[in-house]
Amino acid sequence: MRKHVMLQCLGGSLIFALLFFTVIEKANAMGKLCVFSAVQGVVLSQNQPVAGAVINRKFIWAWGKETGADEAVTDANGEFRLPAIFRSSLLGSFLPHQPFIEQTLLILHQGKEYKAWMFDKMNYEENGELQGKPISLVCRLENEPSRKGEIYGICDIR
Amino acid sequence: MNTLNPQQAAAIATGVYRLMNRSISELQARGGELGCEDMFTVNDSSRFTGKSGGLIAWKDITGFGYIAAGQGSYQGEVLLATRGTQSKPDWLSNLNIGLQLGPGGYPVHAGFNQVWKSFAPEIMAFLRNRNPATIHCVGHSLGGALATLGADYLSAAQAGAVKLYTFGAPRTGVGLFAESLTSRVGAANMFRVYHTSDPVPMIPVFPFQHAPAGKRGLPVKNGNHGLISKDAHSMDPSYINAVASLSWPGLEAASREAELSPGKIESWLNAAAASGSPVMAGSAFVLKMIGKVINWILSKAGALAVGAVGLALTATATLLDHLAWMLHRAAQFSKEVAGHVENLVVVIFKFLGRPLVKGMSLTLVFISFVLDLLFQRLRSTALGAVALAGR
Repeated sequence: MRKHVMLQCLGGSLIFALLFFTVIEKANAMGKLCVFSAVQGVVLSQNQPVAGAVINRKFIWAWGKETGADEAVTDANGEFRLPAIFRSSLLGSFLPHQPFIEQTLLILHQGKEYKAWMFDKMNYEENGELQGKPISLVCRLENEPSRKGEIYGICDIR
Repeated sequence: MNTLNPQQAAAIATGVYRLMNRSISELQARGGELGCEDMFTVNDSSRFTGKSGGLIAWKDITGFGYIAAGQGSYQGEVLLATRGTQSKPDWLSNLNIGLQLGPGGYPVHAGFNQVWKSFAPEIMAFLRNRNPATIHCVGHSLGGALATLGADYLSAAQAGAVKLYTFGAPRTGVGLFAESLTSRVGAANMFRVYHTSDPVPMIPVFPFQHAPAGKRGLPVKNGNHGLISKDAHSMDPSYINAVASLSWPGLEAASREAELSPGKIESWLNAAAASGSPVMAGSAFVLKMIGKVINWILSKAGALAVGAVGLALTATATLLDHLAWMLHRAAQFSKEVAGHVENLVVVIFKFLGRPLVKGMSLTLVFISFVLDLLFQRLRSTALGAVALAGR
């Protein structure tokens, strides 16, 4: 019986080795890791565009142990855009792990801070936050933060 | 006694990742949830930290999970949730593949056990003066291994009836560990879900074995027989989606359907080796079947091969040498087995996308050559991938 178990394990060992190399093969297709997809949106107050509001974006990437931040300012129409943020990691490309990026968008306006978007991204796909749909937001400053699925904040997804 | 359903267990195994670098109150301030809120009461004291990393350097202390008391219909029950690999130090723990005596006194993976030991006192402190009816241990990946060690400790200490739920967990201990744990917890209380394309449940290799011992686990798949992929390992979306609409009995039934009888393996081998039969090069499914065929052929030939391995090969022989030698011996066992080994060689050539060598003879040298071809091909692909990814 034990010999049979050993035989099984040796066969399994070969297969594991083969599979391990196959996993590494996948690294070919995984150069870029998206930690925050592009965001566009509009900030409104009582249905009126808010110009000059600062959109503060932060992320904390668990694998890379990296904290990053950038910002945008709304134009006369209350609109803003932030580009996608990518990182690369050789180990992160092929070592199996649970991707985890804490994402935060804050709106700073007239001395007040509004929670616009709080989300934990658990994949490296571009637009992976919304299952492939680009992030486009309508943020009404009078809204109370609330949960929409896994996303928390004052903004609605359009 | 409650049993978490697959969706509840998956939500908990996902939610615990949110505590790596933040407290529960910080999570709540962000509107985040752990997935257990309707069943268990959590607060900042529920979270515990653990230490992962290398043997000497690059250690990291981070949130590794939480332990919480039940509420409502879960009153009198306890939840222990542990997170999986999220950082490079976690991987260093995974790579510490030595053996240590685990909480129940049987050999387990040293790296997992070190992480477990770093937070075990907090689990013990929580359970002091409590007498839970049931303790649910939940985790994904490394978290699944930690949940398994938790189940080992709690069942050995007779802290309560234990239920274990793991997703994509690696093998945690050796065969004796798996058998002992299974006898204490009961196979019916152990729910091991693994994705057929997920590489993590395939490691570490012998002598490590999965618990529950003697049970196949609950395989889920994406249905396309795709390549083995690290993406299949993610809790969200891979496992979350895979169990989204299934019950435990449903997963058990799917597992039984997926079970391959020797007859089915033989049929597949004959069909795949047949002239003109298409075999997708590089397919994870074909690779898996090659493994099953090797196991099947070796078990068909009985113990003859292993029995004399030590005499025939030097200590420096590789695993590949051993396998080649055993297949060669198996081929000599009978005409029937020789036919299966021939078919296996044909399938390997098809998997490699290479033309078949005419007039092949199943010598030891030839079988070694075929296995080596397989490794060379995968190794060169791997090196190319690493070089490309490093640019």
